[in-house]
Amino acid sequence: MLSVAVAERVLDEVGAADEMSASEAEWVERVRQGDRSAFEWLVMRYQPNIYGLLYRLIGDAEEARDLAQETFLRVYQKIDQFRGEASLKTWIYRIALRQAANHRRWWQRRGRDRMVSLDGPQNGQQRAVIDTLPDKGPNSEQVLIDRERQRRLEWALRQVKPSYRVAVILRDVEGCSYEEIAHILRISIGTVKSRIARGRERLRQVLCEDALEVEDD
Amino acid sequence: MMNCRRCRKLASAYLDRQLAPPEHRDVLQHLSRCPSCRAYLGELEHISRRLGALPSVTPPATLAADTVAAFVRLRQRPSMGILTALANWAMSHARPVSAVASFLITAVCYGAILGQMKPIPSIPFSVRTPTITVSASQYRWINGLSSSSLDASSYTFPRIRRAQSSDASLAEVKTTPIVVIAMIHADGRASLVQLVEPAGTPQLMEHVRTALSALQFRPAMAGGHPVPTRLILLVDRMDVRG
Repeated sequence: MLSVAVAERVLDEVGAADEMSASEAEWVERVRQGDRSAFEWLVMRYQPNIYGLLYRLIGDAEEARDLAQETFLRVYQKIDQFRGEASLKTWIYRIALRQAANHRRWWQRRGRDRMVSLDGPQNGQQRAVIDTLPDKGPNSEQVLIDRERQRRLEWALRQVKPSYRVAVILRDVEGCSYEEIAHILRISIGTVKSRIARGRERLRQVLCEDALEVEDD
Repeated sequence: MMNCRRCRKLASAYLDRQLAPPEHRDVLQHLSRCPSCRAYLGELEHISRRLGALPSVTPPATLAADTVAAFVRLRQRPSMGILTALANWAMSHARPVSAVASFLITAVCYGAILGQMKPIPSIPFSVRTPTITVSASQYRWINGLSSSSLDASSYTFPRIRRAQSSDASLAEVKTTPIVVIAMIHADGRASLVQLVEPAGTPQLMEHVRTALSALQFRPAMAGGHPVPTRLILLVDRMDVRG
């Protein structure tokens, strides 16, 4: 009776989700009242997601850190506007992305591309500044290969247009559904589809070109 | 019958099971007989999997503590009443507020530039006088040099001297900024070199040409002599004032 087992599992999941959102609503109410421990709970619960999202999007640890902090403070300031129509996570994502967009516009006006990040690759190069520093940790060959692959992927991701990049990150890295992405970015499902498709295609092109360059080298 | 181009366009949504059943079936059928599209789909799937397998990024150890400390400071800060409310409102309407702010800043900068270029006779606005506002923006280049790199002691900028009445009807022009390359001749005449933006608008180009010809500039001076100068102007607004 496979169908019964599936139905039971779905019921369990729905029950767990209800339970979680009920307790989440209590935490939100406490944050609304300015409760410090509730705010701590909020930060501890969502900081890996928010920091990870901002880091992947911007590619700079220090800026991602500042933006994550600003995001949580904005969440507190705007918590009255949270109606619970969407999940708290998607609502916080939306605030984080707005902070990131403001940040990007700010830097674009000030020639961000002329600055060098310790985390990101330098202009036209595959190696980040941090890679030129001596590495004192123990490394096996495989660890190095994996790290290099990961770095290339992250570098390639940063070559994708920001509006497509954010859709791909939300989908493939954060595992959001198309509906959640539409809600976070306030766009239609059709636009979500198109941005994810174009972002993945661009990523594929960049990685292919990068692979060809490596072969040439 | 689905072709490769259509299949690749739908491949990403297919991967995420976001296609309507008929489209899903068509893609599936195409894939069954097209190794090239199968390979393409495989690449997309591989990239998607690799992104999903990226190790989670560990937040800095002090992020939570610093954020909570900032939260405590925020709560302890005495309320500034209407100023706080205004600041919050401005933050939540960042785009329109920044547009208004940039307009005001442009106006102030423009005023400051005009102030530097005095004495400038005031230009009376009369019926059918085109008003050209020159913005001190990054578009402002002089003979290939940015205004900031010029030696101000030996070089003076061209400046608007007077605007004559013109028959140019520019009332329709209230779109995005117009970027114009203009030649300011040594005798103070202005002529159009190129309408950069919006491109491909011959009628507008004629309007701009007419408007420029109605302007009299004080030419740029280099070493005490008037010199022809090519300016890139950002024309914020061109209209007919009554």
